[in-house]
Amino acid sequence: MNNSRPASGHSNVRDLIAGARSQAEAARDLPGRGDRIAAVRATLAVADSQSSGHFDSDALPKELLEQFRLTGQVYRGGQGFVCVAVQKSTGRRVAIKVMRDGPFSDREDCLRFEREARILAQLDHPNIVGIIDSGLSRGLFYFVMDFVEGEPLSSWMSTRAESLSQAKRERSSSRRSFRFSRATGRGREDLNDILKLFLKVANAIHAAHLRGVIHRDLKPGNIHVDSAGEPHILDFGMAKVDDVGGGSSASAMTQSGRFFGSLPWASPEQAAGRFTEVDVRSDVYALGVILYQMLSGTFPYSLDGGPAQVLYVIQNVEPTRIRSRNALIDDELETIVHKCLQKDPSRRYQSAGELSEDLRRHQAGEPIAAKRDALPYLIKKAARRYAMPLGIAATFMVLVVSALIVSVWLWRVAADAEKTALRERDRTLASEQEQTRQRARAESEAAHARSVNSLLQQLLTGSSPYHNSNREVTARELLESAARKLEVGAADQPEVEARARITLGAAFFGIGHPKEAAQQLTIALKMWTDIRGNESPEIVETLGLLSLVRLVEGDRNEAESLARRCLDMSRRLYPGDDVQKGIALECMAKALIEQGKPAEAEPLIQEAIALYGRLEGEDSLRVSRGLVNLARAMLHDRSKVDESLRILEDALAINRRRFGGKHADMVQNLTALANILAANKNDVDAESRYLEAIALGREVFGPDHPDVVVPEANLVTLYIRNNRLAEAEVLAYQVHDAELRIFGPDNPRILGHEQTLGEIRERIPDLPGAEAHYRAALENAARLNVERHITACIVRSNLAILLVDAGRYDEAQALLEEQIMNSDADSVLTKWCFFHAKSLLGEIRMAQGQWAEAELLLKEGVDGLKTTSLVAPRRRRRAIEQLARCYDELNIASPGAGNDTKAALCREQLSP
Amino acid sequence: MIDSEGELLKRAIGGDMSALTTLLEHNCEALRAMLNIDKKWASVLDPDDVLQVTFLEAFLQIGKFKAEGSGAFLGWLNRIAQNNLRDAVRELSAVKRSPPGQRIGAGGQQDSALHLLANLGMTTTTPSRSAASAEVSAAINSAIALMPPDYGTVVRLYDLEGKSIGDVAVAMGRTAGAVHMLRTRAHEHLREILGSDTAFFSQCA
Repeated sequence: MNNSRPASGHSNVRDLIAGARSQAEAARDLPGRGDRIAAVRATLAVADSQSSGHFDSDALPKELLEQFRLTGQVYRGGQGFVCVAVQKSTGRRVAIKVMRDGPFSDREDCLRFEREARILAQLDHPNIVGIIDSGLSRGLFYFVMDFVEGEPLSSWMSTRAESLSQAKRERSSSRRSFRFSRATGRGREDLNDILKLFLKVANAIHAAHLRGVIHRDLKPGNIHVDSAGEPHILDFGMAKVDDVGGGSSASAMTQSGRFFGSLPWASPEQAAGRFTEVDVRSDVYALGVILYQMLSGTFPYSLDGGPAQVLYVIQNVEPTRIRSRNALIDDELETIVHKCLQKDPSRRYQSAGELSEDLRRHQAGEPIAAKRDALPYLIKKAARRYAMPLGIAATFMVLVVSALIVSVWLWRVAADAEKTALRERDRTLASEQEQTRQRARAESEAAHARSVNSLLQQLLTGSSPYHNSNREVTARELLESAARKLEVGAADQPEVEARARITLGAAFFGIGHPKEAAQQLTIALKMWTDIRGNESPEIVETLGLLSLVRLVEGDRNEAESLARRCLDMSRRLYPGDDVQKGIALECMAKALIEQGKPAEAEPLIQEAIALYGRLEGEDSLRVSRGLVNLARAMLHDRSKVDESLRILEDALAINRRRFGGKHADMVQNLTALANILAANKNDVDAESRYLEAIALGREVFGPDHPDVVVPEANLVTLYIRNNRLAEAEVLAYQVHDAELRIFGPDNPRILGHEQTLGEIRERIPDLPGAEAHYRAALENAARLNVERHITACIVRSNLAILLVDAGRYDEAQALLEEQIMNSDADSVLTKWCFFHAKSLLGEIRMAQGQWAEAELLLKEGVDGLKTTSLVAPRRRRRAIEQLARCYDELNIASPGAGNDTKAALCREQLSP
Repeated sequence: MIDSEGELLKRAIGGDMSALTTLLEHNCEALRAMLNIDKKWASVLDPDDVLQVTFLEAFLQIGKFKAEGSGAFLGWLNRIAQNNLRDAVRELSAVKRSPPGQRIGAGGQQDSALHLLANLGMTTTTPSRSAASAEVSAAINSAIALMPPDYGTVVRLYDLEGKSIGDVAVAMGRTAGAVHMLRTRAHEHLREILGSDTAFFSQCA
């Protein structure tokens, strides 16, 4: 229909009819209309399970009203309503439960209602509500129970956590859980009260289980605490009986496909609709959720969003570690709670009895039976948790399970995505007016994520040549296969392809294949530029990742350039706090540290840490990572070694508190700690930390990962310093093999191997052997066209010393001239090489008797070496000694010219 | 060859929209003549308003029409038209209508969706402002998308966004009477889409 009124007349009539027809056709011909209507109805039906209502007391049969006087208190449940009444003959307060739909109830409801009455009659337990009477009046089923004076467990809980209201207010914007207040001084007392009460609940449920009764709807609302503090479990309306007599009905109930239970406490098997799998362990799960609530005041995971989202969360999202929400909880209690909340029923306590027994042990100070999860399992879980937001989902699990390699970078990037989503949700909640817009955006992003997920699943599985092979497929093979397929697919969906390439790049990087990561990220960068123009959040993300890849590859200049672009863009795009800006700051800082500019890096890291603290709290993982980087930056300043060590210990403490020290980040953290210890000459502790990092890294990543190779290479250096040359040589070859596998033969990192072997040979001493390795390194540098690389410069310096000491001045001079050409006096990293070369040239001139020229070169060398901290002290010392010797010679030739004083001044600099 | 009305009706009931179009053209003027609109509503309602909504309903409901002899189709159309006219006049006659502020909860669209459900008579209670409200809101929006565009627009502007009838009329380029008719019919369709067997229809005990 047109929006303006048509003119009168014959055409007017036709217009009216045509408009009406097009309106009707627009509605009738919508694709999937029937399915969409069914979806709308299903949504409303589920939503109804979360709503509540009121009760008309006239609904009760007159016969019942003759015996009981209603008090007006009414509670509505999924199956019926419960009214509080007084038995006229005794004055006793009772609760009468009546079927909601009365005579119109279907057979299934009737059976279940009768079942509940029978169950309550057989469960004679002090912590389960007792039944007084039951019956059928004018087609209306009812039963009469003890009325429990008191309060629901939910309100009892809130009185145990004095800080609840306050903390919840404080956290209303950040959407985080409250903590029990240490300041009240009641924390531990409350904790004990809670555990005592919970033990009674668990024991009562165990008693029910022993009688074959599974509650299936445990929640705080179904547990009342009387005035004496005794809990009473109510409402067995959803219960299932695992006995022969109840088998057929129970079976019929499950066949109906109805959802049993209340959403937030439903187990993953209930949430997935696998009702035949519901057993006592489902009750254990619900008990776990309740215990989690009692101890922390919040749910184990976010329940924001509609029922569909909640069902998803229950099945897929790992609970937040409870100790992060209540610091009073110890390791063992956390283990107990999280064992209840395992997604896989076989990993939970197998009965409520086992749970209560472990809690009793904990209360008694005895060792508990539950064990923390093994690291590989934790990693698998983490990969699942963080892979989902990125959309790799189940497919990445295949990678993890088959290759046992986990992507720490994927992990990190995905965690960012998760945090971003949470913040988006918070903002949505903060402003009602913003809700619709934000939801539409979230839905759009979710749809986009689904597209990426779908694409990646097609890429990673489907027609994979490895799909049906009998051998195990490695993560690299799967990712390479995906990358190949991406070359020919998804051309019509550039955004999806670009996102998939970022994900693949991150995954390649995560499993330790920077070369392939760089390929994917470079293409992604170009695609995003084509799609979004020169600036966009996606470009910031890609630049950051690519800078890290280049850094690992050893291309520091490119890494710095990319990181600078990333940071500049992020500052423009994110004027306020944003995690992506924090990441950009860290990327820049890392590049600066590697470029030998730690002083410039330090404020950037401080900025990132402050930003993360505001966004995620001082105890967050990101803050811990920031602290590690800060410690690394400070390490380059020898006066800050102690402070660096202290900062790193803070970071490690956060990691241990949150992950028991088993997080993949710990590999890098331990390496950083070892580096600081080594810098502090504490070689014994440094060695043990390196070994710890290597062992954990191998367990987490496998042997072929940059995060494993780094501590190994550093350990080689430590061994060389301690003259443990045989060990150093063996490990150096291992490192080299791994680097060849990770980086390939065409990466500048391989120069480091020949350098290391040369240094080992020098110490043996096997000078011809050393020279051969150094020359091999320089040949490789020429082949790779990286003569200006810092490693090439170091090797030239080493070789030049060998040649000068051997009196092979011509060769040394040629090498040193090459060094001066390739090392940049303005570059922090290679500056010392330039001045060291000058100094060595000065030595050659001295040997040739050209004293005046020698003095100039030696003085230039020494002055330059004084301005850089990166040069090894022995090299600076040698330069000063040679200059002093030169002055001595000049003094002999020209006494009284002041050269003796200059020599003395030089030697003063040599004194410790 | 010109089809008889009986033949056209048969085809129209079978889903032939062109046949129905022809039938409506044949009966339009007769239908218009049957409409008797009081002059006092002239500024806010005219026969074309009624005809527009009546034709739309005819296209939507033709499958339910049962032929009962000569003139049955015009009679059926007239019942729809009179029904529309009555609804429009009733609404226009209402001295006071709840201002938008009372129709729309402070909570915005989620609450307004819940109010809409209540206004549709789909629940005797006000659903709790639980997490489900967002889901309900999403379901209502999905349902609106399944209706003829003008019906959806009216529900969105009037029921969800809380605009006044006058504002909606201006926004849609219609009279206030037309908006009332569209809204009443839209609510009927919304009830149908949301389904009488959903939990929100059942009377809470």
